[in-house]
Amino acid sequence: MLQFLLKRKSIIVIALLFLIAVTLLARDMEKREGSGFFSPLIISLFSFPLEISTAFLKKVYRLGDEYIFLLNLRTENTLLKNIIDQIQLENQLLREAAAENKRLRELLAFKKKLPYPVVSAEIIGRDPSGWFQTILIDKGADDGIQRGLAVITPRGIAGKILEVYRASAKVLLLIDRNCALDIVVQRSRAKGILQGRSQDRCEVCFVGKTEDIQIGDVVVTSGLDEKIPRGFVAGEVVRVNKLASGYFQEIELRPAVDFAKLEEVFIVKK
Amino acid sequence: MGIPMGVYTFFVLTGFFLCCLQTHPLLPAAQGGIRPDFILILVVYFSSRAAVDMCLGAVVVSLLGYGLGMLSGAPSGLYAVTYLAVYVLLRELKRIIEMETLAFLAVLTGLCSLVKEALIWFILYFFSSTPQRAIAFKQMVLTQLLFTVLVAPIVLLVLHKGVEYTITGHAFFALLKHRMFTRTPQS
Repeated sequence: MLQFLLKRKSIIVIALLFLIAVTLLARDMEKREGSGFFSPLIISLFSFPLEISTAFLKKVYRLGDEYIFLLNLRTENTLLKNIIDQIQLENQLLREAAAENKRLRELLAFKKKLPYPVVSAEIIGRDPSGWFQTILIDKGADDGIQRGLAVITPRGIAGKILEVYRASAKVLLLIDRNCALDIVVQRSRAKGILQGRSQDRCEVCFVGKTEDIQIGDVVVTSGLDEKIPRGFVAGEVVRVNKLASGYFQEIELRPAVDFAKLEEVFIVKK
Repeated sequence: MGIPMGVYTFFVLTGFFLCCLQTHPLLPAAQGGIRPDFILILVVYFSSRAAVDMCLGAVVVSLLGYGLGMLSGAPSGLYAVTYLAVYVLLRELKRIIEMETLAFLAVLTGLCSLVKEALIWFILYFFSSTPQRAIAFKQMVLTQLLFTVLVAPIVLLVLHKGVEYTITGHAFFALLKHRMFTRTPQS
């Protein structure tokens, strides 16, 4: 008998297991309320590792989601940064266009106010050395430019035409040492000769000691130059020095025009 | 053996380009409108080449000076005289000093800038109707020197490479011409 059982050991064990399972199944299906004795035990045995593993897996999934989200976020961030850079560049260009628009409107308004015919010109070159202060403009004899004509900006007189070519001209700026302009002080009507000295200073020469000149006086062209009309602002007096010896005062002038920022000028065709 | 005419042409064309660059309104300038002296750098490099013919070199340098003078408010011939003086000085100096390295040429450019500015001031002070005061010289000379020496290495390198390519190109075409038009002896 024993030998019979031992020979069919596996079948017996399997059958036994089936029997237990079916019994438990039948019992549980019959009893709807309560879970019996074994279920809580089994559940409690499995719940702890299940909880741990579930929590762990949830964290892993969350990390994966966050990682993917961050990747997408980085891509989106880069894209948005590129868009912002493009917009900023466009903004800068638009600001520059707006500033140019404003500047050109002012020039146009200024041009309309002038009682003389004028020709507008752009600066195409500057003096290659610091010893001389000249500029090249893109208008010449073909545009009716002549030697000696006044070159002005809305802020005041910038210089005069030094040399004329067919399609361009050289302008001698007010701040060049070789530039001499007949001027008059607007307040006291004292006359003198304006000469250039440096990038931001001029000197008014041959003004008698008895003349009333004060700091802050505005100096304008006198009109005595053949081709330069009167009334264009040359600058403002910043220093007056009456020396003990000599017949003349030393007068220093700050030019009205900012020569470092010149871009467009007008030539007055008197 | 002198250098091919193409090299002289290269110097003249480069000088034209540098004149335009030096005059360009968008080139950054220091207070007082002081700009780097590209033409001086060209003259220094040109003078340092032993193979440059003395007379032909003087003609090229004078042309560069006149060209620059036309774009400036300077009296005619002022820059021609000063650059020519620098050229002659350097050619004489070359007899006793080797001027092969670009670094040395950059330093030499600084010294030549001093010489050139002093010469211009001297001419303007003694011969101009509106002489420049010494203070103008002092204000200008250091800034001009600094600007010029700063760009000198780049310009010298470009010039050196340009001359090399011009000579190589000339040699190539000379060889090509020789091969095309010389009969090979029959065997």
